[in-house]
Amino acid sequence: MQDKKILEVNHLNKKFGDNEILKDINGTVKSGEVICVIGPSGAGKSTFLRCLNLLEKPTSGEVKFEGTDLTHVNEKQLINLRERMGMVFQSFNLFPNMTVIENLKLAPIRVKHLKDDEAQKIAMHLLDRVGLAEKANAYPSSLSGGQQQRVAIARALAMNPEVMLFDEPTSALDPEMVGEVLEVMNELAKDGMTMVVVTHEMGFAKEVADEVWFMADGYILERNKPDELFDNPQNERAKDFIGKIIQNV
Amino acid sequence: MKKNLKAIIQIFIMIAAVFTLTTVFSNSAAAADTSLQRVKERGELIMVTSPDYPPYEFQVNKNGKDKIVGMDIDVAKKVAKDLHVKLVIKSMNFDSLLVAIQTGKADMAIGGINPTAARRQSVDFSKIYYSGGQSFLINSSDVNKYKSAKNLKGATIGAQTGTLQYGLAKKKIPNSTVKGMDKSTDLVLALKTHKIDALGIEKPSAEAYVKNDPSLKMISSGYHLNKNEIGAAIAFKKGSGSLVAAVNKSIDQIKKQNLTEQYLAGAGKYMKVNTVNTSMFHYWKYFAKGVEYTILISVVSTFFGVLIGVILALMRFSKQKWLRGLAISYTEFIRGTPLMVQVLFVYFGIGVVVNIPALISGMIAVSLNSGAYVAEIIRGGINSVAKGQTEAAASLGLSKGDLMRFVILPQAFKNIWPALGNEFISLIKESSIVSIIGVTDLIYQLNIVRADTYRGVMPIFVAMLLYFVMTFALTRVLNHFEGKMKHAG
Repeated sequence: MQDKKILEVNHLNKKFGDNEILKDINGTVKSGEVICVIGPSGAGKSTFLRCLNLLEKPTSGEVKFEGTDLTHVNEKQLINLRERMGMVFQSFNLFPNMTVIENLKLAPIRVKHLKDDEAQKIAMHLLDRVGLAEKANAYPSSLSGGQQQRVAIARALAMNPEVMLFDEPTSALDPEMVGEVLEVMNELAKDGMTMVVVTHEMGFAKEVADEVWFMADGYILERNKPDELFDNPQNERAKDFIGKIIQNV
Repeated sequence: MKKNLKAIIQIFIMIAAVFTLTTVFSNSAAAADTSLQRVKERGELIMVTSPDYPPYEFQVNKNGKDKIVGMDIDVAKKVAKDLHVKLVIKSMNFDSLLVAIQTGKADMAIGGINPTAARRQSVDFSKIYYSGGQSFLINSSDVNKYKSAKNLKGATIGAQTGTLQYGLAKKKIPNSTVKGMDKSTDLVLALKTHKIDALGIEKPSAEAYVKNDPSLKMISSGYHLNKNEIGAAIAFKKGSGSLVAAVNKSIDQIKKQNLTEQYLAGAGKYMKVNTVNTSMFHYWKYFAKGVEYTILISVVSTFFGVLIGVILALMRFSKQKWLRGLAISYTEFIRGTPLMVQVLFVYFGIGVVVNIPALISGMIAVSLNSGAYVAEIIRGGINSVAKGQTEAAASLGLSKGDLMRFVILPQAFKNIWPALGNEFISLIKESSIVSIIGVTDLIYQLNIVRADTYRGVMPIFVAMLLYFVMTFALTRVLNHFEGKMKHAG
């Protein structure tokens, strides 16, 4: 594992009106690391993730991607940097007016200016990787939720990103489809992809994460190796949260 | 609220500027009398008329070709011949005739126009070339009730809006209710269906109707009028002294040789041609031409309307405040004024500065109008696309332009397709308003057929069917595309 810093967050604050969502967040994601962000709802996990590629504009603080502070670049530079950070959403957000393969090819052709046949090759390879090659010409509406999320992952990967951000990728899925998506993510982590995953899937976090960050009330209250955090949480809130989850399982 | 007020004030300033400009232009044009010289240099005498007033002016179908004929046309031909220029005939609503010469759309207007004192204030008149006299048309069944005009006391009397007959009925028939309509054909129909008791009309026209329709009778108006109120003269733009003088020479000859009698006889023959066969099939070419123009205007205006609509909608999402303001003001203003006024403004108002032909003016006005509505529909469509789509596109590094082009607009169009279809369908129907500036669309042609055949209802029914066929066909096409888009996700 390399020590190259991919993402670095310093004194990040985010307010919506008077509502403080993120309070002085600091953290570093190194190349090849898998970070899982857990915590109760309303903790600010999604907002934190969306601040990493500036879908939400931080109120103050720095978000550095490979050394460049995203809060101080112009729109054009931001667009250029964003293409190197893949994002997967809770609600998939596939483009319903395009077929699966068109969803995958759009950004490589329009942003990276790849030729159609190159984009096609990459797209088919990725669809094969997520096990959906035979759905290339289907429209998203004809796919199950799990299939749509796998396509969404493939679409993000088609831009060959340095880091993948996952915003509760399995929360909108029927339980029987959660497995297929986690499996794809697991494979991705094994291949060395740098990942930041906001999730409620504690099993996945335990198995795949290099580090788990526990968030509550807009703070990161504890960060640790998964075994440590799940088996022996230090923070009271973390103890409480993990206790409840284990009870429910 | 404050912002809106500012926008409204801006609009008023804009309008005031255009208005001032047009007045300045029209005044400066009137300053030097080059009217005769201009006609001679051009080699053409442009005349406007409203050809729905037999025997003064009306359309006939001669050897398969539409032709405007009548006594007035013969007078105009004689004038043109004496000036050694070619006669060009433009047609439009009677209401618009005087505006057309004031705004330079034509050199002169003819159409049984009575040179009243009020009209003399805004236009110049030639000498009177014909004195017809005023009369009333009544239903044959009322012959005993209305033996003379005196019996019309307290009756409901119809007359063409903007005509002398309208004013006279108001002034001279005690306790009467006067109903105005644009077309004499509509008035005759109103009479026959007892919506009005009598119709004030020039004597030669009344005679023509009585000859062609046994259910109608004519009574004398009994008005005591001076020459100006019963005679017909040719109207010119103010300050056209030289042209008026030249035309008066022709009129002197017409009067000396009593040519109008000859002209009226000729008109009578044409009217017989028209009424030999009043079946709607006989007039299919009229309707075909109307359909052709209605479709032409609709297609062109739909295209430009959508184009303008997309541009305005994108302006609404612009970062530039002034672009947003401009789009909002435009939409508010266009939606807040009637299409009819916009058509008149483009043709006559802007026409003072740049001379735009009627058909193009109509297309411009309808496109501009439709654009405002389409813009609002598209704006709604863009707002209806889920926010996640924008975020997904942004996370892939797509530019704003690509986001709109590939992601937002295709989905927006799918969502708004039914609303857009609705707009297209109403555009076909609303385009009929261009008939007031003489564009030969279906409504215009319908009125011509009604004037020619003396049949009030049947042509309306035919036009109704034709409109329905057009909109129904469009609905099928729209549904076809809607089905296609549904398939695509």
